[in-house]
Amino acid sequence: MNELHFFLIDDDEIFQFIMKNTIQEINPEIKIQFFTDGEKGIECLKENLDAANKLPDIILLDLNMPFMDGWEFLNEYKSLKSDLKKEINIYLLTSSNSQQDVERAKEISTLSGYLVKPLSRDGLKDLIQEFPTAEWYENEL
Amino acid sequence: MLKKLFLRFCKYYLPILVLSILAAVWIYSRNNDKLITLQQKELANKKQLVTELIKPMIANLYYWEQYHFSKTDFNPESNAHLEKEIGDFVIGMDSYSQFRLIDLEGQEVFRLNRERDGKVVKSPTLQDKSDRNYYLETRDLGKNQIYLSPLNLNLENGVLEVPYQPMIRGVSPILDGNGTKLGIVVINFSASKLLDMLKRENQYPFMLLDRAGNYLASNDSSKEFSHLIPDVENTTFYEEHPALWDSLNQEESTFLYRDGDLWIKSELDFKKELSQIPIFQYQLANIRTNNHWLLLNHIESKLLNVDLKKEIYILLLINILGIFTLLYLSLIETKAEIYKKRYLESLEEVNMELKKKKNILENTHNKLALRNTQLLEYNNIVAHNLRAPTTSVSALVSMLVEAKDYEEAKSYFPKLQSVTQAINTLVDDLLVYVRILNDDKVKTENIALEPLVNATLNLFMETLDGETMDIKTDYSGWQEVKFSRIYLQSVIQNLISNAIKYRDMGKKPSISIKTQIENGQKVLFFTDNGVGIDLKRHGTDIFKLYKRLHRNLSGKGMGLFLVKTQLESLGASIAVSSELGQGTTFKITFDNYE
Repeated sequence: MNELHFFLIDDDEIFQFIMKNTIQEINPEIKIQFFTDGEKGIECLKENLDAANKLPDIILLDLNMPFMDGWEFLNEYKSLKSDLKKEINIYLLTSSNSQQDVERAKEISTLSGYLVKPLSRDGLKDLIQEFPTAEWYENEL
Repeated sequence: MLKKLFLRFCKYYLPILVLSILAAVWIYSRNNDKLITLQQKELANKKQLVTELIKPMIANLYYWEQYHFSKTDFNPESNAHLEKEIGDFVIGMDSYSQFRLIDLEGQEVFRLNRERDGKVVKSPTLQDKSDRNYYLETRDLGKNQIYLSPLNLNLENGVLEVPYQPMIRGVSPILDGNGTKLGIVVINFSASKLLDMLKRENQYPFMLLDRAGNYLASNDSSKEFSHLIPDVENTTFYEEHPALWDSLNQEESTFLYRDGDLWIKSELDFKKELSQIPIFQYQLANIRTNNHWLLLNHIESKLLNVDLKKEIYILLLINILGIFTLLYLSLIETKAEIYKKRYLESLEEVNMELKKKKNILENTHNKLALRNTQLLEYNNIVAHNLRAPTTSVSALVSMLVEAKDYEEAKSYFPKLQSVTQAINTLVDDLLVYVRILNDDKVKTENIALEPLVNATLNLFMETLDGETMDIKTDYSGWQEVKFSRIYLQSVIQNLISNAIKYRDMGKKPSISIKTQIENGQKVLFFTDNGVGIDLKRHGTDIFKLYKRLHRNLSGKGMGLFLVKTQLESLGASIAVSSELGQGTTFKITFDNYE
């Protein structure tokens, strides 16, 4: 089985660095691609609609980003989804632990779960182990 | 108050006044009608009295005409036998003062006189009456004809008898069996008693006039028969009241008003009245006479309606009572109205007070709502913007701890440094934000907009790098606004800065600034022709902290957030409308509570 393929869409470069480190420690085979805002992520998906091998299994999506934030990304993604040749699970990965954001997230059918930063090594391991998650997934803090 | 009272009183009293006047007019007219009817009745009675008293004479004259006098009876030497029979007849007739037979030449041939004591005596002397009217008028009198003389005074031997004796002479012709006229019979009817009866018991002055307007009877007896008495000034009604006399003779009506006085008249035409008397076998009397009298009642204006005093007094009393009652009622009503008005006014006052309080409450509520939103915003900032770097710090720190060697650890330091730098910046920005939120006593003043805008524009001229920019300003809506100078400067600076930063490179940039009054509020429009914003996509996000919408343009994402916060902290609000490629308009609405 191929190792998992991650997209991390987050404008925080430090966080990208941290995630890169964490994933390498878990399994260096795991592929991870970084995008600093939603727009860049969408563009990448659009370019690879038919190239299943270039599409991720998991998208970790930050909410608060310039140009196109997480919500906007999800909006755009909805219209793309049917054209994608691969099943993609999207998890919000945000520093916001506000209940308001969680509720809003649950309303979105394309979302698989809600992860609150920081995502520890064990937290990430859990996600990978349980993947693909059948129900709404939230990490434990 | 007095005016209102008076008006109300008038409103109530006017109908009563009108009714009273109508009632008075009605009472007057009814009273006069009654008076006229009464007086007319009285005159009719008098008329009847005259006719009734005259009637027997007609019958008697007819009797003597049918008596069969012979030629010898018209000879004074041979008619002594008549004294007994005629004397008996005359004695029974009080009002007959003389009974005479006069021959065809006008000589008395037989004469009975009634003495003062009532005795009837055959006169020893006989007079020549051939020059008297009653003789001359009756010479051609035919069978069955009767003549009645005018009412005048008795003459004896051509001299007025004193005391005056008002007389009517009745005359009939005497014919013998062959129809040859022998002479005439003359009966003197003394009218003194009749006149006395007419003058008696009159409530109002009564007068009897003959056809020429001479007084036959009057309450002023000196006027009576003045046309017949020598050495007395001739006083006639005709001369005293010529216009009235004409009216009385012309008008059909039985009454008329003249100078306020009321005159009631009744005409007595002897011929007409007495011709109706059947004298013999349904034969009507054939009467020749010129007697045509006018019976008059004179009611002076001052005597008119005297007996109405009571009714008028009652009416007046009702009115006075009404005036007092209505005045009292009006007073009460006016007072009640004033009280009601005051009550309503005080209600209004309370209402106003409540409204004021409601406004204050609403104001407070708005402020609280705003504060709540700001707190949520703050919460949001902390959740999103502060938690991210702090979690990064903790992650980095745990990575540091687990670092295998110093080299690895060292590689984390620049990352740590940049995160802490970000935290510092964020904390500084948050401080600015919190300071605005907390600054309740920010100093406000009246600020002239134009100089402020000009000064701010000058600041940016350099950043344009020699490019020119169209600036359109229109301050016609308003010129000054009460606000914090620092905030307003910051707002304008940010908006101009944005307009320059996000200008459309393909166009000559322009900014338009316009003031306006909308619904009583001061509004400021800030329009540019820059790249514009896709509002469908970003909505109100543009006012959020660290929100940057344009990838290729630098921006910290603090400007519009600050603008919104500063405006809202002083009750103003900002809205945006924009279209991609067309430009953006910001609309600032200032609170008008001051």
